[in-house]
Amino acid sequence: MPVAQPKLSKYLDPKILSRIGKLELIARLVVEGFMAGAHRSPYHGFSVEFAQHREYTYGDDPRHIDWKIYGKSGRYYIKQYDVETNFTAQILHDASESMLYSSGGATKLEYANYLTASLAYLITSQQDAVGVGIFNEGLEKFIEPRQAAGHVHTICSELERAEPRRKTDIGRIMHEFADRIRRRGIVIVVSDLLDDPERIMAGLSHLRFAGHEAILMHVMDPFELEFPFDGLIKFRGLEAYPEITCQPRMLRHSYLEELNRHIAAIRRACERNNCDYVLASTAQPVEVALFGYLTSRILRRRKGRVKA
Amino acid sequence: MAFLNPLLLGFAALGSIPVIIHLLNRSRFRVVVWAAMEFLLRAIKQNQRRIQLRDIILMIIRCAAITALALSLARPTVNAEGLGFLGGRSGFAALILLDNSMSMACSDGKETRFDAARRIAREIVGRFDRGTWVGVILFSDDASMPLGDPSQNLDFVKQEMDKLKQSDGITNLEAAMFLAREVFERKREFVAARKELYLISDFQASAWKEPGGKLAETMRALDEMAALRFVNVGDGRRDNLAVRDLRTTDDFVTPDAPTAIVAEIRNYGDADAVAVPVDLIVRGKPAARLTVDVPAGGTAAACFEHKFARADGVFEIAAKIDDHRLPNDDVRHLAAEMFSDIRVLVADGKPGDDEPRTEGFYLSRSLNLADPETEARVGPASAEVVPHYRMGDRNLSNYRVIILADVPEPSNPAMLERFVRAGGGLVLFPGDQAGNDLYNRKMLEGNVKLLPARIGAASGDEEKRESYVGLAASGLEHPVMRFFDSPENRPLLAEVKFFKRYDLEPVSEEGVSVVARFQDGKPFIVERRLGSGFVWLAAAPASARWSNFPAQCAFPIVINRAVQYMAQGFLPPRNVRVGERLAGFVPLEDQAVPLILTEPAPRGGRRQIEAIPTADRRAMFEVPETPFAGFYRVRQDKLKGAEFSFAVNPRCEKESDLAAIGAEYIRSNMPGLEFSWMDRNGDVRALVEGGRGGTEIWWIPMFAVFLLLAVESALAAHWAPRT
Repeated sequence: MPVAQPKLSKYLDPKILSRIGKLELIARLVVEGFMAGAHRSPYHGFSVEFAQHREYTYGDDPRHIDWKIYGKSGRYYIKQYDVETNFTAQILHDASESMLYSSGGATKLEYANYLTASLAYLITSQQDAVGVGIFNEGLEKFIEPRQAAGHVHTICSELERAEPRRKTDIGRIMHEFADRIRRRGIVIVVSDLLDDPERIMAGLSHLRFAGHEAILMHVMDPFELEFPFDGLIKFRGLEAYPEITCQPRMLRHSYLEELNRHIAAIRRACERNNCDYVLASTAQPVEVALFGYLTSRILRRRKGRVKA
Repeated sequence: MAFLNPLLLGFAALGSIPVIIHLLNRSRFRVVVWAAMEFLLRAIKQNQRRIQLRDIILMIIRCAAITALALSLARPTVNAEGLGFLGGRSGFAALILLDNSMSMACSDGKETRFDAARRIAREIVGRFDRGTWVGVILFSDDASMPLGDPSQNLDFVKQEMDKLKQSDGITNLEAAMFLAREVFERKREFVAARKELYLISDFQASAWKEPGGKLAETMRALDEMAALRFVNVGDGRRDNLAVRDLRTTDDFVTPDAPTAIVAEIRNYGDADAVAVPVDLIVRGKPAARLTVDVPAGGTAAACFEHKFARADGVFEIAAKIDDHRLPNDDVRHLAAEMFSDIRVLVADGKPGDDEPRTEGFYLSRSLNLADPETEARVGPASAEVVPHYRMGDRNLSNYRVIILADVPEPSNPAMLERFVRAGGGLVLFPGDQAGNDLYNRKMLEGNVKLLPARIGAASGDEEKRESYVGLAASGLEHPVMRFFDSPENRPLLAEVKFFKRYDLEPVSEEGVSVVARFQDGKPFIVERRLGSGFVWLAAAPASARWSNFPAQCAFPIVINRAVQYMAQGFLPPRNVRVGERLAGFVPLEDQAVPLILTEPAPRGGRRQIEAIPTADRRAMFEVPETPFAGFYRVRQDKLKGAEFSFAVNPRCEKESDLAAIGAEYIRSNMPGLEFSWMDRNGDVRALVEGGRGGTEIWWIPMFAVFLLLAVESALAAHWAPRT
């Protein structure tokens, strides 16, 4: 059976990439911030470059003493290096049934695919490794992190192939990932987060405890955010929910209250666990969502708000 | 509670429309595949009961509003008792049409139809709710609103109804309906109200079977705007005897001469009336009695012969039968004016004529009639013959008639004109001496226009007796000549021969007519009416030279009838029918003396009337309305003998026939007309409240509609989700 060629261009839209391409330099800095600014890489990399000498003080690693200078001057100086990033990013990609919803444009799943593919491309183009876990109730597919340029192609193929089904269980997936991934890195969750905020918070805590930085990219349809329905509507629930006929206009206020309460709970969970939270509406261009997030991250870093 | 448009109650079913719409909408929904069901479920859980409650409340309000609207359109009514708590304005306006024609005087032994009509009218008014506008139309010859504008004071209406009087007029139903329509359309009290028309009548057939009228059209128009309720106070019997006519056989009552008086009795019933006594009453005293047999549906005449005593003034004559069915047609009245001594001045143009039989001779002999045996006067007139040149010596006001017999030249024509205008009679017999040109010039072509015809050339030859022309025996309509219009009297004219005559050319003016003609059609006598008097112009002199007329029997008959006719003058008639006006003249100098009108008892009253000066130096009084049959008398109390008597009689040909129609007749002749019918002893309450069902309270549900809509709008706005 012939395997369909993944439509890479579908996810790496030239328009999107051209915008993001302009951000390449910024993205590098951001990625640098991802890794070095926020979390100093726990591993030694191969591309360490000399920066300056500094007089040895107590506590410095004696392995970095420059013995040539000691020979010349009899004083202890240590070499200092610029440390290049070299991190592994894991993208947890939600492929549950609820991601199929669309109010007219792209489904949430398609939008999540854009985001995942864009992020993978961005990360690999900066010589970092990226892995993708496609999940619903459980982990459906896991693509090991790699740095190779062709790895994006593999990711896109798997995204294309993923069939949305079953319910979301993000908390469980986060726990599973926290236990599974030994190497600390960044875990980016791309999901509609239609799960219990408590469970999401528990999962985030677990990831953080395991030494990962977590970023929640919350993908929502604009109709889910605004609930602009009128008239009598039968809502046919995804993820095995029952059918409900109601006048949504009468329920809009309560619905939005519930939604905002949910988002607020997730935000609080993120804040507690020092995680980034990005609410991305599918009505919003992918590059805008990414650009907005990366820009805000840069600004935070400059202002020193991004904690190490 | 009742409903005036109960069929519209069906619209109450429309109250289920909101429910139906709701159910339809429930089956007409959009399907949306939805992801964030958890939030929606929680929102529903929180709001479902509240939303359902709101929906139910709004739906109930909407259903109630539509039901209330249907209720209002069905025009609910409550009776007067039920209206009390509402403080009650009824919204009704009723017109009561009360027939007071003569036939309503018919009695069943207990009460007359008119009494029954008033009683029922009072009962009807008593059934009206407070605030009902009531108007009363009384109709017979004409229709009027004796109570004035419609009133809401029901006690006042009932009280005033007792004062209404029954007339002897005919039933003018069309006038009543026309007035009712006008009231409904124009009176503001009726315009917006719910209208009702109560017609209380005996439904006499003659009133409903008027050919060519617009009654049906008016009735239909009334049916469109009001609820019609007919109350029949008739008893269904049609038997009735009436004195349909009373007359003297001659137009002029002559003193001391037997006068034939004919009373015509009509039997309107289905059974023969045998030996019906008919009494003749002259000046209030029984004068004679006759009995007649009157066949069913036929007529019988009681012919009296009465010799009137010589007395000036009016003889009040009545013929009476004992029937009691309809009292006012059991007696008929006649006012016959008697002139006991009509003074005639004859100006003889040839007083010294050698011929013994001059105009003066013939005229004097004809007018000064005397009993050959007793030499007592028997005629109505007394003539004084004077030479024409002595005429100026006489005071003309002492004479009723002046005869110029071949007077060569009429002296002082202006004075003669004044004499005629004041009511005198002038007779001209031009002959050999009367120059036709001179007469024409002085009495026709100048300022004075006395002659009724231009006197043309004389034709014929009095010497050639074999050549003559007679008088026409046809066209004898004039009161004077009518005497000859009978087979027994017509031969009297046949002997009359004219050998010579003037050609008269009647002038084309109002009041000019030909009294008698020659056999060749040329005028013999032409009359001009001038003021209150008459001018006669004959085509030949009153002597035996030009004709043998003065020597014939016809001459004294004509001349005596002529002076009687002229003595009466041209005055308004003394015998009229109910509803017609009465009028008379008094001398201008007596105008200030109060004139007292006495109407026939017992219904009539007594009141003062006024006389208005006229152009011919007289004063005219007028009685415009004569609703009752009988003698009307106008008297100037301060002037001895100045009394005018008028006889007013009903139109028996319409009112005495008591045949009536019923509801079926109306239904068949006016198809589509909707009306309620009640007989004399019917249930008034059922009549009034049956169709009406009480007072309309449509405004209550209508108010509820607006209130419910307002509440619905407020609640819907209040509960509407904020965006």
